[in-house]
Amino acid sequence: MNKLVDADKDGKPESSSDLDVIQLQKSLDTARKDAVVARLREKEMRENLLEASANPTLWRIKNIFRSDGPSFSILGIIRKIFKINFIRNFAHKIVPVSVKTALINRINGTKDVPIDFEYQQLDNPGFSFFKPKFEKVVPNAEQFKFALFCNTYPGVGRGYGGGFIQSRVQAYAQNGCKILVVEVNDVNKRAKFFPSESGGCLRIPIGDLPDYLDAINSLSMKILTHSPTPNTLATIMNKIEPNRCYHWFHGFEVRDYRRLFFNYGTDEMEQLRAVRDETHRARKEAASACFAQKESAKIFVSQYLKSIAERDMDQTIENGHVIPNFIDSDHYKFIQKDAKDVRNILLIRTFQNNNYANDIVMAAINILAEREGFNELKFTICGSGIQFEPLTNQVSHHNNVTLHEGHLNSDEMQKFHGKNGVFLVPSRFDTQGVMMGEAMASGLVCITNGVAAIPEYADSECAILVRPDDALAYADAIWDLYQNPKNMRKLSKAAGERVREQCGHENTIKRELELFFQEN
Amino acid sequence: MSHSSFTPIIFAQDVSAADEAARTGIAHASVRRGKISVYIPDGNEMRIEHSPYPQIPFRLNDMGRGDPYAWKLVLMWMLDELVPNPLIIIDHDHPFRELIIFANAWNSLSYGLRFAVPMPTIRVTEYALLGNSVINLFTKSEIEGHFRKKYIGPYYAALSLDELTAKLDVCPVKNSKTRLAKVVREIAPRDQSVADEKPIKLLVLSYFSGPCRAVAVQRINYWLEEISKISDGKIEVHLATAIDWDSEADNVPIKGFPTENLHFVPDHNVASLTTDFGELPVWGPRFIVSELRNATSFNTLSYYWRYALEEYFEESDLKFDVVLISGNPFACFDFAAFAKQRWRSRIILDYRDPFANNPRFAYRDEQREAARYAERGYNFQSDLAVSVNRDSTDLIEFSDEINTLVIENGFDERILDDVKVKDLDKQFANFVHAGSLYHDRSPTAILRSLDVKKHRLHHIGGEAGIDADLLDAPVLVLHGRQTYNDTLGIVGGADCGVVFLSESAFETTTKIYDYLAMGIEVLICTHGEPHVGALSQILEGCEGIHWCKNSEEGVAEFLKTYTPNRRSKKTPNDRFSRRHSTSILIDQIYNLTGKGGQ
Repeated sequence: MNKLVDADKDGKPESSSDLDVIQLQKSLDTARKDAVVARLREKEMRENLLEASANPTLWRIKNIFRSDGPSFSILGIIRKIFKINFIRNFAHKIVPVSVKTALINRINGTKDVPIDFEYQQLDNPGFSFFKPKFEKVVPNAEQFKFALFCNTYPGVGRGYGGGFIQSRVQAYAQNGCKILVVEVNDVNKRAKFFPSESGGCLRIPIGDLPDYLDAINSLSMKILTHSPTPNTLATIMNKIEPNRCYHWFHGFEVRDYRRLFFNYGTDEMEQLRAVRDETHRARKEAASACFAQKESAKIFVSQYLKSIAERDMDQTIENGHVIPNFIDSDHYKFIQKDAKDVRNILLIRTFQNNNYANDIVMAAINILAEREGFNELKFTICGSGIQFEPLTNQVSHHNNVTLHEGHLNSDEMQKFHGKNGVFLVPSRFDTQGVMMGEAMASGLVCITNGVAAIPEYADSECAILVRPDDALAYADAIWDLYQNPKNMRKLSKAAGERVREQCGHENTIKRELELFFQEN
Repeated sequence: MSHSSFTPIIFAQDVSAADEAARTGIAHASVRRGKISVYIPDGNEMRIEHSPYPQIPFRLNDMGRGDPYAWKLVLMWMLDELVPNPLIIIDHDHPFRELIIFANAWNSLSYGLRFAVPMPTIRVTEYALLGNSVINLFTKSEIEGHFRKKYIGPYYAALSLDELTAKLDVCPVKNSKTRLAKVVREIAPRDQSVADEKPIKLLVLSYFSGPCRAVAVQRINYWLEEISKISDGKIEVHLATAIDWDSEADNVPIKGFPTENLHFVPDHNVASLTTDFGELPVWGPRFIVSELRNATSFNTLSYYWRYALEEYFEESDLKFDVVLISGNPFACFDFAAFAKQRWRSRIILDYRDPFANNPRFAYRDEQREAARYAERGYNFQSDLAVSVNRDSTDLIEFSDEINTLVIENGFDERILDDVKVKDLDKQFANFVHAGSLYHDRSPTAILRSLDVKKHRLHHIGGEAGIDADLLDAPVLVLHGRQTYNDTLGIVGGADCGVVFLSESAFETTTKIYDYLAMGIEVLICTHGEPHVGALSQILEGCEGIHWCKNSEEGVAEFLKTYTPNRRSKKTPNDRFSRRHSTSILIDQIYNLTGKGGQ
């Protein structure tokens, strides 16, 4: 495995640009350590989930005395054994929660957020014992005309998730529209407000939603939701007039989980099938009621997602809109790529599930390794997730493959974009492909698969679309580009133009703001 | 294991079996007063007694509960202490019958089935029981006749213990583990770096195949024999099937199919899930619950077989470019997920006729909804869904989202040269109907409308579906059941073949292809609107196709103007041959893999 950059013999960097790269290297090292820890935790979570599903009683008993569980107390033990959630519901009512929810709560107790809401069966409406009044938590709440409800929002030690909401909120603020973000998640033990330049984020436990929603409703705010859970959606639909509601659906919450069948082995699928079927039914019930409402707006990031949501939820969508996720082309500045960049090939991808199809790239690299001239290519692979190590082990022995394990922030990604010419985006399922869009904005030539919504955002004029699930075809695509590098310039230019037109401010943030201010 | 070393033991519940076993010198076991006793009447009578067996009956669905360890002790006793290499002949309704399936799956204990009373129904568990039986012993020929009507798989039959012991010398040993080891040993690992130069590997997966007596099997058998030839060797075909048959046997329709490409993977029902230690995996109980839940809505045959397939191919080095899974049964369509993950194969789901939205399946609303949900899951995993006509394709769930294709059944062009056309009386216009008759597609109207001086209706097949008072009608000529060749001979001698359509008109019966193969005219009597439905689309542009309402008025109206066309030469229309439809399938395989075309 190669180092990203080598300093000269004295250890001094050769230029200021190298300084950036060394800083990047340091941050990557830290990120890599975090990623390893996160990967172990994720693995443990998955094993725990399987164990809990297999034998709930045994799992509860075994986990009573775990040091990393939630608060250790008599009540906690009783709660665990009898599946009763006292903490939030003590003063109001006792609501039993499922093992699945208990597991999520336990994971949340470790100051992490659920990475995959796919696993969350149903959230648990309840009541917080120590619930401060909304007016005291959010001073000057009248300044907000919009409240945005989401499951997770960046900040205060949160890991992944919600970045696409944050970029929206910041863009809205730049257009003079401050948003009160409300993160509804049991990670939050009690309501707390975190002000920011773009407005602020109120973080509340799920049980507080009804009362805080009443308070927000009394201020006549418009309500925006992103990937609402069935409970959040039902509560909002119950309390808020629909013509003040704007619901974003990003994927998992409105599609049949079996569309991503390739993410599950038989054991995992069969172990969790009943729970997932039940979750699907709950989501379908909530979403289909919402879809049928004419007054509330429903926003999808691609036509593909909208059409599968209609099918999977078995309901025609009234007042539906397709508005892509915003790609910040001011941040991801266009750099024209040409023939000389064809050898520098970049993969930045989550290595969490099979839908990211990183296995195809690894197989493709090994196919290319048999071809004369392979060593002329330089592959940089960045990512994190439980599959990172097993998959990259397949290619780590090649001298021209550089690995970086860890989560990159947008600045780091931009720097990688600048140093490469070709971007690999293998996929088995994507509802838009934001990473691909960001790379296109930077002028990289993307090699991807024509699956799900990807053909809506890339075609043969601005990218290379390969037959899915075909490592040989993927390898050939990389090789063809390498053999015909003159295509780089044209594809790079077209990529930058397309993403700016399709996912730039005009077609995303501006359209969303126009939607908020038009009369429903 | 050599078949000659079997020691048969009768596990029967009635006394007569014990007497017969004693007379023929075969061991006999019985369960009395909570003990299993075995009597070996070989010289001195011996008795082996096992301590009380578990009081809770062994049920495959309860493998995770009850008394599994005690039952395993019983099994170990049978295997290790009973007699060397036992072949247990057990009543098909014996309380131990599900234990025997488990024993066969877990330790390859061989068994046969004894039929002292008819088997009332053949469902999911019975298919597993029958599919792994080495030999079936019938105490009466009527019981065998009853069984033959119901069970479509091949089997070895014996009508007495003497016959059974004689036949054991020729019957094959069922031993899935031995067979698997053989396959793994014989097939060398493939060099993937040159995979593109090798033929496309196609795995056809069908629960029933070969000599199984189901119409659907003809389609599979044709593909097995012809795909490799039609594609000039560019496609190498393998078959995975649940019902064992011998490709070299005389009565098997498939000749010359490479033995190493045949993969018999037994269906052991729930026992397919067991580990090498005879335990259910941690997810096993949930799998069973899912099957039981689905079984309340639709037929779940092959639900567990799909996992047996996974285990089988997990231990093999084989890799397939394309996997074609053919229904019915449909539950094994979930094998697609495994094939995608393990081999990145392209998946073709061959529905033939619709599953969840089949108008003929009398589902209740909630049952149909459950079937539709299951079918959607299958389709998410497919690259192409196939059926026999456009109407059926339209009935596939999410047919507007997934890729679909019509692969018609067609007629088997290979047998036409052997058909001897029968001379029918030319003074009449001879109509012919081949096959079964159903309540929703009745021949009553045409039988009442035909003129005894001008017309005859020749019916080949059973009499069921014909009104009793019309069975003696002078216009009706009953030919009874005929061989396929003789059927085509009678059809070829007639002027016009008759098809009865139901109101939904989604079906394209195979008989239409027999009529087209023999080049005769076709009369379609429909309970729906004429010129509507699947047949209308398929026959578009064909000459000699007539339509009428299936009513006395409708048929009479048609007969007013009909005269047989005996001038034009009867030639089969190649467009409707199996070869033609198979070529379409082959083109799709090239498309899916990006290999082999032109």
